[in-house]
Amino acid sequence: MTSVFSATDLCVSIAGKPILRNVSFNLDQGKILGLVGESGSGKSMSALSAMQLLPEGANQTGDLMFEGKNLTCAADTEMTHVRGKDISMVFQEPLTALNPIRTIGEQVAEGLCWHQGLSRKEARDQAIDVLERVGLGLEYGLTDRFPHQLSGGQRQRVVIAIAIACKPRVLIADEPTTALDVTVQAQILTLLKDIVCKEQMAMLLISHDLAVVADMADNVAIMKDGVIVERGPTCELFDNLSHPYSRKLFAASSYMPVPRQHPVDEITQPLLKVNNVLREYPLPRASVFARRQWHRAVQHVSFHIAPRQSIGLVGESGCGKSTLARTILGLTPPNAGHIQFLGKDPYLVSRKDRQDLQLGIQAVFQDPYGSFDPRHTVERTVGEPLHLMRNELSHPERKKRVHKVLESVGLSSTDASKYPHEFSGGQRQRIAIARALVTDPSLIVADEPVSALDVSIRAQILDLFADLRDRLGMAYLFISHDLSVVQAITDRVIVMNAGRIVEEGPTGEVFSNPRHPYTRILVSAAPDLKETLRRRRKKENKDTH
Amino acid sequence: MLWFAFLRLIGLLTTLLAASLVIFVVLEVIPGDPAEVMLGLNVQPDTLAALRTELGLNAPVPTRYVNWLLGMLQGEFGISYTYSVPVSELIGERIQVSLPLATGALVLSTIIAIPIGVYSARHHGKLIDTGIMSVTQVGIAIPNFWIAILLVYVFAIVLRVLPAGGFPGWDVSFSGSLQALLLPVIALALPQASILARVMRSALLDVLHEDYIRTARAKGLSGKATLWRHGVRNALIPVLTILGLQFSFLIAGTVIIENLFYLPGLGRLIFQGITQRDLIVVKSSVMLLVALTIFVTFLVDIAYAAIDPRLRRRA
Amino acid sequence: MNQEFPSYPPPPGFEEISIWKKTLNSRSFVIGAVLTLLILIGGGTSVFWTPNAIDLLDVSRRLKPTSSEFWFGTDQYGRDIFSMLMVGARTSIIVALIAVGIGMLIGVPLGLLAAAQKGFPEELVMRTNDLIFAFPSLLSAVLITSIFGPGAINAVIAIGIFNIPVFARVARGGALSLSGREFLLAARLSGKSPLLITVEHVLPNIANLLIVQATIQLSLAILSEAGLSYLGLGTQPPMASWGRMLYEAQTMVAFAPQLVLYPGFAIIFSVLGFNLLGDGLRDLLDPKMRRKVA
Repeated sequence: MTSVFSATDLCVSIAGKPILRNVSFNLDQGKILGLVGESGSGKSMSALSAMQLLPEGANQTGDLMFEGKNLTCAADTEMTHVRGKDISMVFQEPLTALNPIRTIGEQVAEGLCWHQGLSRKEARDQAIDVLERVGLGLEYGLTDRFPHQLSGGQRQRVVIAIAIACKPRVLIADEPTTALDVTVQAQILTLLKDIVCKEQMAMLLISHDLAVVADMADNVAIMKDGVIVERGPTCELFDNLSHPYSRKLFAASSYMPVPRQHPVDEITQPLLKVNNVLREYPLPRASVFARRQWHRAVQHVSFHIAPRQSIGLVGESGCGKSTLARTILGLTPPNAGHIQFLGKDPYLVSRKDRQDLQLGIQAVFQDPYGSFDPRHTVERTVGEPLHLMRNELSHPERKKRVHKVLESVGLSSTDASKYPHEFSGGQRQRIAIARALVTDPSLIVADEPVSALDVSIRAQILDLFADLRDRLGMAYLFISHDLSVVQAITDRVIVMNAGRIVEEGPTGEVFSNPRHPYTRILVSAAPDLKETLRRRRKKENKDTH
Repeated sequence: MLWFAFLRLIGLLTTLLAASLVIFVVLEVIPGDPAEVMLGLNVQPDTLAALRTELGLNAPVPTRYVNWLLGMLQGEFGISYTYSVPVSELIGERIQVSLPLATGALVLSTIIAIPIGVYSARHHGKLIDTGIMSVTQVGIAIPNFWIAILLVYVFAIVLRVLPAGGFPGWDVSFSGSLQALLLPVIALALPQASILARVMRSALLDVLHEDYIRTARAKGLSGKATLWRHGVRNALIPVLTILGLQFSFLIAGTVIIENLFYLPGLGRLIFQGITQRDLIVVKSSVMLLVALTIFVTFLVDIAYAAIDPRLRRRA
Repeated sequence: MNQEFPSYPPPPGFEEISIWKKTLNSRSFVIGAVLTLLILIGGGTSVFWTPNAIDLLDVSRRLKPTSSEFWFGTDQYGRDIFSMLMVGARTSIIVALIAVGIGMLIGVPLGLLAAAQKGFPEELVMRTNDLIFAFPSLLSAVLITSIFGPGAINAVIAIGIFNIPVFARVARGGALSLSGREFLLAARLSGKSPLLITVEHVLPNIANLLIVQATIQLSLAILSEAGLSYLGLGTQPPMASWGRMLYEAQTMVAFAPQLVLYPGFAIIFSVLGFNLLGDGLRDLLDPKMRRKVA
């Protein structure tokens, strides 16, 4: 079979810095090629290069062939007849990919007007058909709405609708589901698969997530530092990985720290008690006369954490898990219900007592860049929680303590005088952990602590969390949207949906045998590399027999 | 959208009320006795008493404030002390000069600035862009009254094609009036156009880096089509903000320019009001200009929401 | 994962060599700094020395051409133009610095308060801002002058008042853009009070913004001062000011057009100087803000 689209020896450099080196791939009709790699590997550049939409100042060599036509030397005016009509692209972030001040209908119809010379009216009617093809047919009046009025999943469907409006032969999807929740991700992936199959397109799927690619792609290419290091038919490739980097990536993707030998027994006196907590926010009024509506972020939530116990809190974005975390940390008081940490309610005690309580409960946040003041040294940042001890510690003692925690998270004490921007993402997350450890807390609340990290670094940080837990014996409240992370590190898990706890139990039990329907959806939607591969092999074996 | 406009309207009224209070306090309460300020030192006691009665200064302060507000609502701004005619008549005459001057300058600067800004952004980084940016950089730094003096020198004194000042009046000579306003409008518009062109360019460059521009290009739209359909319209949002802010500078500019060209406008009325210590004229014309600024801000807010649907829900 | 995070400027004192190199490579910064420095030196020197006295009116030496005694010649009253330009520079800079200083000292705390205290304080500060915005500095000057008579102080107060909402907005905007940052949450978890967090974290991180805004406001203040003095509402003779010089030169424009050029160029150079300095600083301090203008 001849390829619909092929790239041969693509080299791209920006300002003399090589971004892609001799990248070649073929896209076949009705087939999906998965391109995986970590951030900075050049996978997005490959997509833009195929579309001839590289940023200004980029230098490109190599051949791009589309149905026997050489696109490499095509002028931009020629490319405007190819882009959107023959080759289309779906982007990662659906909110910014849509023009905020044009309606959905206009944006979908625009390509139709441009390529097929339709009138506005005709294009609009066709746009409604296209939106139906991406599963937005039932949404009445959607064409006249603006992007900010849609949910994340709906927006990504609109972006797909724009891409497939003119029935292109080639579809390039750059991390199409990375910004979405797992359940929505599953829907969007199914939609893309259906479209490729039904309309016999050739697709390039770019992702950092091996599980997504293993599930979707017919062929996979693994990329590192602008080079494709290994490629092959999906199952075959994953069964016989030969390049050391691909092996490392594969191992990290399905990595789990060694589970704890002796899970903690439930102790009669819990460390933290959350009792019937309610937290709501006012919504803007719809009109002058309407009554003010309240958004209930957290609704009557109760649970407790025993000393040394690791609890996982999972749920999709907007389920209230971060609000709950802030309430537990003493940052936002609950509207009703109460919190007890070491038997005291932090919102009711005196300022001094509250500071003493705060010593025992610290946090690690998601964004390894935003969680440090760029103008403070590591020493100042890590030592900041010692403010809670008022002036108990002398300056040298403080310094000693900071150095000690830095070493305990795998950094050196010489790092103390550096600034955050001198560290990589993984190292920064170590600094954030050091800051949480410096007061010797008995509970650490970690809000999506590994979500922003590449898989190989994520594995290291998870190891560090497990190691610290075993060594220092603090309790964790581990918040994540990613089930595999929670599965890796916790004893018990709490599942939240729309502000409520829908299920709670020992981690292994909840994941292997979910009882609540929402948990079941969540577990089945979560991409799992090994499970996916097992399923595919089974299917392929069946096909060959 | 209606709800948004309603909220803004309430905001507009409160700001107007607060502004009137500020003006009233500064001119009538802080000086103690406005009549004394108006007449100066060495004044006969009975003259002073007469003026105080005429101005109604014997009533308590809150009553005077309310009376002033009610008067303005009915179009009565008091009687000018120096001209002995109703201030409303004076303002009515003078606004026939100031309004064409200000709007002319606003329109002219927009007409010049938007295409230049777009052109400069399209040729971003090239020599022509650098050239335009250097010229506008200097343009911002030039005071409009300096340009005005130079324009007068070139066109009125050396070339003798346009009048150096004065205003014949619309009913006396329409073309003469237009000619009289030509130089003042240009002098006001040029520095404004420099600022606006720079804002247009940088706003457009910002927008062109947005993801949805890439989406439009991926749809197949050419660079030019993308620029006009997605770039310029979105870039107008920040430009509109600056346009609103510039209006208050424009008002200050008209006061200066009217004095320079001896144009019988509001600015000159205010200026004469100060030199003649005619607080009644000053009070009403300052109030009028402040109200105008507040109203323009209101219009900009509404236009903002009309362009950007995301703002319509928010109050 | 593939998320991109904003890059932060290196903290002061870091990568010193490259910063110096970058500074010297920034054309607008160098030109702006040189122009500003010239104006500062001229104004500063005039405190203790000028080539000629400026308060001496001597009609016998009126409208003299350029010479070694009168570098730029004399005006219609026989005063040395170069000396007047030097004193004018002093007037402009002093008025601008005090006015912008007033705006910063009052505006920045107000803006930070509005950002920190949602609800009534924020609403009050923002409404007051709107109100002040409705009074261009010229109108405030008109109000003040009509009561207290003209003078340089009026110009300072009027321009200063108009600067308050500008700095309040910039400070509030900057603080709000930081408000989601997790390092502020971490500081709260360290038991720090809102005031301490503002001083330790917020203020240093918006300092760049404020400095850049201050240079822009200085240039605007110089323009406003010139306008007010031109109208006779600002600096009064015998003190020299560029706006006043233009006013006096205007009547002579047919006979001595050079009298209009000198103060005009002085205003343009100083405003240009501060503007370029601001642009250059912005590029150097925060590459993200490139291309934006005031």
